[in-house]
Amino acid sequence: MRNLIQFFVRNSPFFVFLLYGLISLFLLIRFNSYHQSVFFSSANSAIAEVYSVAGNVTSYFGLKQINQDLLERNGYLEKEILVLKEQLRDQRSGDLMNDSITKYDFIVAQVINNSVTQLKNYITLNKGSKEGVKVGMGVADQNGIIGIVSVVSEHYSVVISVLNTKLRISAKVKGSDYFGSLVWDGHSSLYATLEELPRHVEFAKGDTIVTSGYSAAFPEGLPVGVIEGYSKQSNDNFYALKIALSADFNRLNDVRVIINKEQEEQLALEKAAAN
Amino acid sequence: MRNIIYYLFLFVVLLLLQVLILNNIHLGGLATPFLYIWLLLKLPAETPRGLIITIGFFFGLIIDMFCNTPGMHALASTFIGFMRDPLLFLFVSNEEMKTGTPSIRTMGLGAFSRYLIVFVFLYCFALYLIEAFSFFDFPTLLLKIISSTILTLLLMFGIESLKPSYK
Repeated sequence: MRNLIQFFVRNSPFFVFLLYGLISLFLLIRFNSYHQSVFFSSANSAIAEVYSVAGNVTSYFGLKQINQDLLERNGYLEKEILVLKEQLRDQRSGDLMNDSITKYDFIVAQVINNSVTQLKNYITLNKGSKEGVKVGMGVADQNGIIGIVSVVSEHYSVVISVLNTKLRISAKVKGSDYFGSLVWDGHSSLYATLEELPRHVEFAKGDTIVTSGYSAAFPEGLPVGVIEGYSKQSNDNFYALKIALSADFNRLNDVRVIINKEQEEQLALEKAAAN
Repeated sequence: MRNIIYYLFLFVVLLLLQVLILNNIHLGGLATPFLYIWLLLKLPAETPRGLIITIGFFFGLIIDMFCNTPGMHALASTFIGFMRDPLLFLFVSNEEMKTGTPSIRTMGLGAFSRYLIVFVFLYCFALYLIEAFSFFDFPTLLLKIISSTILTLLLMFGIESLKPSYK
């Protein structure tokens, strides 16, 4: 017994190391997926508070460029409204304003923390469950999609960025109906890859990639990026497209959390079908 | 007592510097400086090993909470906390340095530099290896380790040279 105690005392640093090492490993394995804990992430209110204060300062950087982007987007939307109005007048059909437009709503939120440097990047927003943000909602800014909400606390939420090797988002070439899944390879914050696109889909460099609308998080047609190049995938039946992302992840500020009013219904139905 | 307040102050400054500024640096898409291990590196030589490891673990864990990477920095800095004393006494003998903080003044430029380089390299190596746990791309991994080590070292030597060298 005395020998045993002496053994532990003599090697105590090693056992301290072992203890903390095991705790770290446990955290690493337990929370290294979509299911993060609120306490051990930047949705933790104390940590979000620090980011919030720093975000107040950093949000002023790059305002000029953001303004420019917003103006462009504004112009584009105005044009779209004109076209739609015209169609409405032509068709006189009251149905046009139903489903697809009113099904979605959004919450405007500010990015208070963002990273692009890791393999698994996350974004912290200053809106949480109190404002109606829920896990699984899509997030986009004026240029394109940003990610999907993963953790929500009362006033803050953490978003899995598109720049996260764990996230896959369904997307398609604008104008076609074939879809692939958008993944990030962990290298540059400017590019992602659209995998599993069938070989016979026609596309050209410079074509726009938009969300497919098949996942419950995003409506159809939100901009994702532009085709930059392509390569064959290992099994030859699919293309992998290199996509230049529309959203500038190095300079995120105001984003929209997209509320799909029928998301719960869709997910419940899909789950029931899978069972 | 003064020492404890000094290290607490250093802890807060390094934490804020790391999570608010340095974590956003991503030179060439590869290099991120990890200045926060400066605290572990500079703990007095007489600090009990268990305490160094404990400080390492909790510092890493707090950084993790900021970065949304539970366990990653905690594991790497626990490891480097465990390795600190063996590393330190690899370059200076136990008699030479019973007390005092490791620095150029107390260890000499050569020994301190070697201590710093091996320490930072080991840390970056451990950290990126843990990060690559589920995602493996060897050339990028190696580049990340080496470039981050160099960037961190540059910062550390810069800080060390700013200190007044009072005798």
